[in-house]
Amino acid sequence: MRNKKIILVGVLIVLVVIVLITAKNNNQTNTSYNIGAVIPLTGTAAYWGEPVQRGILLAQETIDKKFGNGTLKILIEDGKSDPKESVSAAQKLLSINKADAIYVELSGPSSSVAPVVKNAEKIYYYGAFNDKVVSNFDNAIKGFLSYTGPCEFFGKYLKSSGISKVAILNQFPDTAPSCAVALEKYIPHENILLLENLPKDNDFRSILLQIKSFGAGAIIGMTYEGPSLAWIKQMKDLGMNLPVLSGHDDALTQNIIDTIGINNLEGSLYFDARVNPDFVNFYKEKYPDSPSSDLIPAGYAYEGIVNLAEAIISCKSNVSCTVKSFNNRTSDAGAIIGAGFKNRVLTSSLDYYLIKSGTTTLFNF
Amino acid sequence: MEYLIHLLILISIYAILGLSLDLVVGLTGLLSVTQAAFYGIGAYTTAILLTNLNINFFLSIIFGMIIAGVSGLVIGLVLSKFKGDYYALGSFGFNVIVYTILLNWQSLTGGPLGIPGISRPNLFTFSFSNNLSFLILSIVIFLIIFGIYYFISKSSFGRVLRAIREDEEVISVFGYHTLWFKMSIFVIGAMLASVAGSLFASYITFVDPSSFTLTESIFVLSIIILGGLANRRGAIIGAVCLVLLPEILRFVGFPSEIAAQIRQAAYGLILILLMLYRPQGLVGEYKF
Repeated sequence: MRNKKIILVGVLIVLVVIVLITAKNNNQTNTSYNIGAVIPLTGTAAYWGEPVQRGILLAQETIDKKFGNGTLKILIEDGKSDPKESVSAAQKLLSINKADAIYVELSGPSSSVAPVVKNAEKIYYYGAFNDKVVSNFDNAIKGFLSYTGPCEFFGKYLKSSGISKVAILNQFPDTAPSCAVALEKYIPHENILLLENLPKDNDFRSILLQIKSFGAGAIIGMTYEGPSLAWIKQMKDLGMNLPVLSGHDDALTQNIIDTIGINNLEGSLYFDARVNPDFVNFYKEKYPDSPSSDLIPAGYAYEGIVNLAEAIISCKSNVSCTVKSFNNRTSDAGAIIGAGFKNRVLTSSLDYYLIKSGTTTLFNF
Repeated sequence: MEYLIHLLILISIYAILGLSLDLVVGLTGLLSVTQAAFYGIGAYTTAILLTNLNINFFLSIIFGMIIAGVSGLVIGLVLSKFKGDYYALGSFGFNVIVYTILLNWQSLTGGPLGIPGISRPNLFTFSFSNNLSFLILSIVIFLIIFGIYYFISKSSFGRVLRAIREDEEVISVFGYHTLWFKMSIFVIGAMLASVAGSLFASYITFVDPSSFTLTESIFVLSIIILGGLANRRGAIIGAVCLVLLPEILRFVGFPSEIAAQIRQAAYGLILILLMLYRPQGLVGEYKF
């Protein structure tokens, strides 16, 4: 027993020594500026974090090329898709790595990390659906595709098509209420059926029958690809031929359009953020096996980090100057075409495509 | 320094959680995997009371303890019908119910988005707004709970709990009403776990259901198993190891594109090795 204890303690000491030696080498950054990125590389949202990480690594290449190696380093830490773990990661980046800015993905981690960065008086760049993540925080900048614009566009489209009732199927946290508010510009509140808490087993039939009895003339799908394919198929099985309104990365991916058949999606409308072809080539060259659906998260991360880095370098990390620089920033040759910062929110113009008579055409009013 | 203080706060919160669970699992031998539910009840009670009603943090701890205690009483009654593995499965069910409520009662809990902007504690005119003062507060609360644990484990009540763990039938023969003892310790464990939840909510200033899943219950169980069951130092050692280990791994240089995944795997491997060589935990007196 005593020997076992000695062995255990010995192993632990060796481990700690190895860690300390590698830590010393690993955490020394000789760069002038550091950006700490807390992203979900493991846990439930790892699917999102991985393309974001690739976008950040490409951003590092671009920054090194533009400003030279050693000017700015992006340090990536895993937030494990968890608010508490993200706080630990942010604390490490601020205290040990002396990060000048913190970049965080997801609503929960964005909420939990915000007070930490605020107390440290650093720049905070976060990606979250929720608008209420950060309050009274002048150094915060948001970079995320909001559903508010698309929903307003959908509302206008529904009104022009004579559709008076619509249902929203929502899997994305907190997007649906803001979507409903945007729709209300064109459709009365009582004619919008908001359906959250969707089933986990992909059997949407009872929900679809609820939509049928409500008399909805279209469905807005804020659902991931797998469940989207399930509910669109089940909708057809139930004899409901309602148009689907969604994003090209959400319920109306190319895969779903091909599987369901373009002729079976008459009147459907989808939006697509335009990814710069140069970025697509840059990304595909580095990651040839990654799916096209990675381009938006990777592009947004790339866009955000490159702009953040440029602002930090040009302002020599002065916080108020960096934030001001963001406000004036538009990226002409960035990853997402038409992306720019408005009131410290990274947005982009979107293209809308209408499925009509078996073809897809660019649509505008 | 802030990073170190942050880790010490987390250790004190998890040590409280570990002690609360060790009363049930280590001392009494009831394999419960529902501590995250009571932890969540405490956290959400504090979050809701502080953000909606602006109630004092210390009052919110008491409210959290009452709600967790009542929930513990109800679920404890149901669980008293089960033994062994079935007890663990029953407690697992309660964790799922609480998680589902937190996720779906959107008007109260904020649903998947949780509740942001929870304030830090205030005592008269003093605010525990900086992390150092919060660390002192969490250590004081930890010491109180450590004292409660010590008192229970050394009392005649604690000796009965140990006897229940060793052989419930024998102690029943001596005229002890074991159900009452098991219920009492389950409720006490629930109430103490809710204190950890209140501290967590006020420290992180944000709660969402993802922090109170079954995984969290298993994490707390791992703390006391690794540290050592039925030993008051076990929960502390377990909390120190399991909170610090993944953080230490952040400093190990792995290739950047797969670093996070390798760290998770290394963490799992270290736990397996520890359990292989110390199945009774680092300082434990009892094992399943």
